[in-house]
Amino acid sequence: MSEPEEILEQVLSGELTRQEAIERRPDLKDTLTLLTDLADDLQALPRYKPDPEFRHRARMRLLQHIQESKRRRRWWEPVFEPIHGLPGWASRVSAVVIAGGGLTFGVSYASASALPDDRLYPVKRAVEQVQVAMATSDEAKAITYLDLADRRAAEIAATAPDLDEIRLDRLTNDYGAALLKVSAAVQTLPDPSAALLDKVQARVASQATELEARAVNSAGRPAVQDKLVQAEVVASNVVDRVSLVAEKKGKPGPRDVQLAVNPPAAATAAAASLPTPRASASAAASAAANPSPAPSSATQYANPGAAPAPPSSSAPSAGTTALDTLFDRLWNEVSAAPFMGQRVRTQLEVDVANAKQAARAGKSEAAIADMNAFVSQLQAAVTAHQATQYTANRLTAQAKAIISALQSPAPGGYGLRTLPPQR
Amino acid sequence: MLEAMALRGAKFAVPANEEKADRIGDLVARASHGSGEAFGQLYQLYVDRIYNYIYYKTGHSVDAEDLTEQVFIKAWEAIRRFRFEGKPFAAWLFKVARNVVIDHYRTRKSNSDLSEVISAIAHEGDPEDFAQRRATAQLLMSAIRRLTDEQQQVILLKFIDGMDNTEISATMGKKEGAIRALQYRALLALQRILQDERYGLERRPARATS
Repeated sequence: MSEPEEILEQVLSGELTRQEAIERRPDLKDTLTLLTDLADDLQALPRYKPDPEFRHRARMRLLQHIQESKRRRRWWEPVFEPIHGLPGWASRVSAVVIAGGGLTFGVSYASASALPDDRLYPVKRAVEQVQVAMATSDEAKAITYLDLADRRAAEIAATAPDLDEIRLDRLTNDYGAALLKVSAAVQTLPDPSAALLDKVQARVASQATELEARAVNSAGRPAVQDKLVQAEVVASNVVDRVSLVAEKKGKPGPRDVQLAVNPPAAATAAAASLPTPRASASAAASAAANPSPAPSSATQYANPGAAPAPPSSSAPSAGTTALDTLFDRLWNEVSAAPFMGQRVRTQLEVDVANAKQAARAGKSEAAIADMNAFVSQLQAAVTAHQATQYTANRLTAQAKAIISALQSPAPGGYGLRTLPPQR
Repeated sequence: MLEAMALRGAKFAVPANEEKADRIGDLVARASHGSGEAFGQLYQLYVDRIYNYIYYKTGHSVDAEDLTEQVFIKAWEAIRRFRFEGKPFAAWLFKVARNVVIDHYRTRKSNSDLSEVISAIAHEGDPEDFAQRRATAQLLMSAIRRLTDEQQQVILLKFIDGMDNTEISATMGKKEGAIRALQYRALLALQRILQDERYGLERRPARATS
């Protein structure tokens, strides 16, 4: 209590007068006098206030900075939205970690291929939200949504038979939402690049084809098939719209505008969303189930120089074999394949027709050679951007099945119930 | 320097009562949840004190303006990390200010002088003991700047800003007993410096009123 610093404090705080303090510690008289005087001098020093104009300007700049920092933060807001199916904290942490780019590669790589049933799937979706948020230009946004549509289509294709209807419904809705964003972006961009239009057309058409194939395969589950057909219709519709944009730009549609020229009847009926027009959906379903070239495209594709006789119509009656059916289906698929260059299509049709004739004549070797030529032409077409990879894979798989059947004509081996009589 | 408005002897509004502390606590809570408006109010409440503190640390009005702005921008960036656990907001803000000034001197060799402070005093319309005050201020300012950083801090916070010991203790992260001891030693050191500068008892007459 009688320490000098305590005595000084009591004087400074007004608890003691100087006189009282000096009475308590007469030995400190000089020091206390000097220091309290000094304290008075210090307290008497002027207080400086900022210039009012500076004060105001600085405040404005500060508030502007705050606004900007909030806008920058808005960037990350999607990350903090809870992700369905994962505890909130988990999806947030994962998304931040993955987007932040640390241990990340492994996790994001693993999650990139996650399917709706997988534990990492919510992580994948969270990362996607960050990717969308990070796309700055409109074109980049369109591409990002296109990527998302690709993923949803792939997920639908991979899981549709196993997913329950609610989750499939959610997935197809997400797919439709991504497509709408793509479509809106392409249609609102003042000057979409040709590369963007090409990419959107090719990839969405490929998605449509894939969904269509799944719809064909899920005839056993009408509810699933309906959903798939709806998704396919939306995809076709988007291709349609994008083709229109490309045409307006004075740019002919890439390779093949079959879907644009002759969209499925349901595509025009269905709005660019996923309503459930029962009639149009089932109409499209039946169209998908029995793929056949539409009249206009048939004439369009009919090349007067090298028109191959459609095998299905030339030899449909007597002696139709399982192998014939495979050939016919392949021919139909080639003629209906979206986004295929005209010359490529004709060449492939010729290959199939020749192979079928050779097979019927018992010339398996020649038929196999034709089918091999078919496969290598497809690959060349993909390289030359004259066919999509998806279509090529599908057609190649069918061609290989035919080659296998030609090489080992054992009954039942490839689902062939009857052998060609020539063999 | 003309814009540096000196108000001799006028104390800044220091939130002393509980009502004010509550209001500041509320503003801090809102600002830490992203309210720019609340932070704008905090700016209004504290900008003068921060500016004055930095002015004394730098002795230069342009620097003081720049650094004051930096303090509030840094404070906004950091306020999310600030937990209002009964510690005064002012204590935290002055810590930020001190660090900003230290960074400023770290990156830039100080070439500030006291001429501005002195000139500002000279422009005050109080001719009576103008020469005396000018000399006193000049001596005091240069003496303060020769103190150790901690001594300087306690002198500026206590006598220039007008904080109480509780706030100083929170700002400096020391117990109040330590603050009292530091304050005593700082005043002693300042007195010694002033004596060395021949600033002593003989200057008293002009300040007889206190």
